[in-house]
Amino acid sequence: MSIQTEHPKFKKRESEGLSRRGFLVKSVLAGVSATAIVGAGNNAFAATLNEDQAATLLQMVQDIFPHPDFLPLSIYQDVLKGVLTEAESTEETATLLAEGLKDLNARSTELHGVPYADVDAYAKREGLLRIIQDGAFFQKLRWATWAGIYINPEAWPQFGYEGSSWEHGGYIDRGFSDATWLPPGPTLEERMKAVGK
Amino acid sequence: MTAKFDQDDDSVVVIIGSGAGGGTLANELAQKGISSVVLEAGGVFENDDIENDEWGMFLKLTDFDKRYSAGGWHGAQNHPTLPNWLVKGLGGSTVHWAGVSLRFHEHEFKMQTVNGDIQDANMADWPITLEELEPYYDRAEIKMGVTGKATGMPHLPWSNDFRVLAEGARRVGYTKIESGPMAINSVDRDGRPACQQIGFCMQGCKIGAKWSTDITEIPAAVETGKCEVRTNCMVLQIEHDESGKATGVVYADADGNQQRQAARVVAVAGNSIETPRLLLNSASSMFPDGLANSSGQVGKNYMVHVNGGVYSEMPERVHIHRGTQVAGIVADEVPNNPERGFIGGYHLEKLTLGLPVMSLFLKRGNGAWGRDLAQALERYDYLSGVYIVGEDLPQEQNGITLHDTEKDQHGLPVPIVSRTPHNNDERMLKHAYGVMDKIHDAMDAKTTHHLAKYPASHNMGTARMHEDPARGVVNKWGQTHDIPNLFISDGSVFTTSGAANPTLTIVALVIRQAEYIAQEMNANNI
Repeated sequence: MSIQTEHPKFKKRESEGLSRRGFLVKSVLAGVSATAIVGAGNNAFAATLNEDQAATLLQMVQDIFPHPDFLPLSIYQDVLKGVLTEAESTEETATLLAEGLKDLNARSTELHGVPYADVDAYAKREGLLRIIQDGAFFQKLRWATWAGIYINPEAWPQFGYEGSSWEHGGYIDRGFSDATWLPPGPTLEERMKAVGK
Repeated sequence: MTAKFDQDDDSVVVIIGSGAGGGTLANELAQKGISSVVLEAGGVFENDDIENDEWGMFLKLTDFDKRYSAGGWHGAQNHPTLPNWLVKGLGGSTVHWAGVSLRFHEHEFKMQTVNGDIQDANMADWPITLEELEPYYDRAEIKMGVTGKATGMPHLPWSNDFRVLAEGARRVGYTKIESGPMAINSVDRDGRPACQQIGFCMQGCKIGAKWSTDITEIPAAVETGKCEVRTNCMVLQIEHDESGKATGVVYADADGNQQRQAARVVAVAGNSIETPRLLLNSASSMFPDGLANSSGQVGKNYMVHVNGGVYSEMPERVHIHRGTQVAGIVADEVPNNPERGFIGGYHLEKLTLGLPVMSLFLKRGNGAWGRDLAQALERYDYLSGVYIVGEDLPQEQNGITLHDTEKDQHGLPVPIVSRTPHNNDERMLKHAYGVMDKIHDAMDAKTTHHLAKYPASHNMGTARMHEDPARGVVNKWGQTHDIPNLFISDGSVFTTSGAANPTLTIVALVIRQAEYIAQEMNANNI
């Protein structure tokens, strides 16, 4: 039985095929120095990274904390950029990513007949990631994505989270008790009376 | 006037830690003219260091010294090196506490008498009663500036988030619903301003509306000229003489060099992990099982409160992040009523989590990711919820032990913090989740999330108070049964946990202890 729970927007993009999705990562790759892309010197990852792999990583970070109609793609592109930039200078990260992707695609091909990024339903891709979720490769991307969204002030307004308030005088005059759908709390007089004043 | 005491000066009281216990003790003694040296393991957080940044402050304030989670709770897997959420720094965990200042109820001092022996629990009565502690609760509330009758300060105004809880609680028939008592000024008082509903109470109060010892007790103590505070000084060992009397402490200074400070009295206030650890690490040929441990109870009976969270998506926006983090408490389930299937009771406390912490605590562990979590977080602004704080039963198996091989930066064994919930705890938590489901359903909640136990900020019991020296570490004054001039001045002395956040009781006990120390010093008994 196939459970179709995918968001239409994702479906459309998936139908375009992996290589065509490379355009989503081009701007990210442009921000990372050329050596990481074309391969140079003895950087193991640099030699193996291509657009498809970057696109797969981008799909992964979108699948880890998916907010398809909610956050702009640029949030995820920035996560990817951070990871790739680290891979550029840290061989350990480069190897982790290269081998992690290889493993993920092997599992995906075995189970679904196609590489990870070509798996058409979120539930199936999530299932693949659940298998590898205790590994360092996945957790690296999970924490990078978490940081790129939930502790990123640029993403906060979309969640209605307003961040630092002391410089604005707190919320005492800015809506800490502004809900009109709830009964009001006690008045100051009532609160004074409650403590015997 | 800043005091400076000689390291050989054996007339001083050495206080280890500067939080709710240590900071208060320093000031109480100073006001009585008794000199003390406070040794604080951490540094100083200046006002500029305090930011409204949940994650940034977590990294800045949290005590990340190596310790391990163990036992049968999920944190052994999901929070393997963060069993507790505590602060290492001047002011200790009063910098990040939320300000909830509840008193214990009468039955909570005599849980064994009320309920009899409980299988697999190390039940005991406190050697003191509520009646004995009440005058000290009053003094603690006046000192700290707790909203309520003792100070005459009204409780804080109700935030949206509390209005959700209060109305839901009212609809299911609850009546004990208040926005206090909180140690947060609701009016300008004692040189500190009224709360501006900034939020981020647990990241340190930017304006000082919340009581914390770094801005109240410690400066007041130093002002007397009777108290010297040495920060970045980690006490490694308590020393004693041939008669078994404490003589002073060995500590590592900011540069890592070992120093000694002589003492007439030593008071340990390092919180319930570091306090027993220090006693155990101070083992000697005379006290091979650790100092003050003839009962074998040092490091045992560790309690953290039955705790968890319930957050639900409401039909309208709540703006949970606006306003004080925890000014809202429902107390109807506090009485001891075994008909519910468990003994002891619990509070429901409105609790704001910012988006960063919500995203970490809604689900836990390696599997905390995916569409369900992301969709729940997209409704962040509609979430409302509580922290459950319930009586946790003492068990000998729960406690602090020393790692066999792994050492910290000072060469001392790192602590292993073990927690396995008692069946009573599990039944209480289940009940509390059920009650919150009803409360949120009454508010037409769309989805409800049950949050698993948190790394513990309420740590109690590891040097417990008991009348019988064979069953507890300290007497009713917090004085160790084995060493008359060695005192414990923090939550470690709790015999049982009650359902109240521990800080107010720690402060009340320490005010009382300071009187006793002064009396015994004057009488030359110590």
